[in-house]
Amino acid sequence: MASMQEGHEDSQSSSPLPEDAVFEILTRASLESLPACRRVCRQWRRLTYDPLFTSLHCNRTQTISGYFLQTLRRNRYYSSFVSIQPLPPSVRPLSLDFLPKDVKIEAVGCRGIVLCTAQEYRGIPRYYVCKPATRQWRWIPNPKTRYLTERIAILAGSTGALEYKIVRFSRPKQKLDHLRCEIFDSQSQAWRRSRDVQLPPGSLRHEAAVSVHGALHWLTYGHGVFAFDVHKESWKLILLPEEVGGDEMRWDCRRLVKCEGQLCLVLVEKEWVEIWVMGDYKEQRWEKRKVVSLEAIREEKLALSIKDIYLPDVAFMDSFFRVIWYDFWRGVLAKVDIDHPFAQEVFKFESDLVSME
Amino acid sequence: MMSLAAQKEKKIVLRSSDGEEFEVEVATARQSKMISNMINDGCVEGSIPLFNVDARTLAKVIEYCRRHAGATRILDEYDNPNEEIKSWDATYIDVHQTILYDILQAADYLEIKDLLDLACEQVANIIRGKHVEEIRNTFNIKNDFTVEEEKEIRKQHPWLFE
Repeated sequence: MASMQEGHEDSQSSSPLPEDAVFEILTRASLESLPACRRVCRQWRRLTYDPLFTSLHCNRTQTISGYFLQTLRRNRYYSSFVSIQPLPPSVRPLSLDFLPKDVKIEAVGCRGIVLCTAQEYRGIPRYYVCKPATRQWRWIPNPKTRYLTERIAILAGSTGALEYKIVRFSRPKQKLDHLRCEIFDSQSQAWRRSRDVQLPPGSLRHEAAVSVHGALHWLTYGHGVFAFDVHKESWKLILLPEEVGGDEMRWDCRRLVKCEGQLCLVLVEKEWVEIWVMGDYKEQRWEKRKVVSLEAIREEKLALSIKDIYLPDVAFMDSFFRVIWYDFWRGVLAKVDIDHPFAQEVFKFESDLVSME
Repeated sequence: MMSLAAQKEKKIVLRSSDGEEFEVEVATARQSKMISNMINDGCVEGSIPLFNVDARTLAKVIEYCRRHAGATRILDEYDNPNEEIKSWDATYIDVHQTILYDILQAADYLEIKDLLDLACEQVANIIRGKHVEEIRNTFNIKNDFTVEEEKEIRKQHPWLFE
């Protein structure tokens, strides 16, 4: 096949790129194009979850990656942003001070959009959607605020113009055995009601939703995970692994997180962390991915709680007046002091600098 | 170590995978870390065979190296050559995808870091806004996910408004 030599003018190249070159390319792919890159092939997917990927990617694509922490003090909400990646040079330190009022962060979506509420006249909240990286914001119509918010989440479309949906579960006044569900769509700029969820108010843990597999997930105070499919607008309960599901008293040392695009359960027991991954989402099969000792970090001698898994082997923890990035194998990567004793709520935040409009 | 002037005069010969020979200045050749190491080790007698780079790509790569070897000298003479070299780079790398791909592989093989960076940046720009299938076609990548996995992964990254 000597004619193969002439393959140059072909639109397709002859040999695959060397892996290190692919890695170099992917660390330069915009935040918006990462989801597509992760679906190209196994190699591309694996490389984007490489431990070295995130810091290079943030640096090269002007991506911000960190956490918004929120605490309630004297009836006011305070938020601050922490990160171990340097901010892009053109970006001011992130905060919500560009909004016209003090706000409470309700939820954070991908591509750096944040849903907030401000307390207005007679305690009726006002809803904002904003993008802290570009300091843009807009009001959105209120949902039925007569019913108190039980859980709320915001989802951004991962490509193209910034579109989003907000899913809100609220507590009906009369019936105490179900949650009202409303959905806001950025295209119609309106809320509409969806089917009620047959779960009593107070069932869902007070934490940010974990958004994977097209569904929103919260731990319940029982022994399961509540999963709301955003496309079908239907819900189901996923059982926790049998080994851990039984003991309902231990809910405080469990946390649901997203890691490598998968639903993960982090269990902390004294010196040990167990990480369970739902490798097979359809079959709802959990597998114990790793068990790691926390002995090395006990010298901090403080109550530590794992808030998130930042990278496959790096936990994000908080302790007294401090947050810590802890690499299970290499030890503490960074400590950042915070000006409140504990981060009551933690929202993972990843943002590009693309305008919200 | 030779003086700069001596380096300028001395030339070495690079031979492409398809047998074409290129005579280049040492300073130009030294833009490649791989060749630079070979020069330091004194193994550049005759011509250096580059098995992975064909003549068309090599000519293009040499064009870059020559410009950048020159730029280092200009740096001493002018205050702000940065903008100029940047716009030169932008024009240089604005090539057909096949050539870009070849340049990238050559830069990787020859260890020319700045050129590799430039090419990767350009490829990342091409990816922007493309759908998965388009990316696969563009880079001739085989989808090695199973049908089930494909479905799963699609769900993990929903295109909410498609």
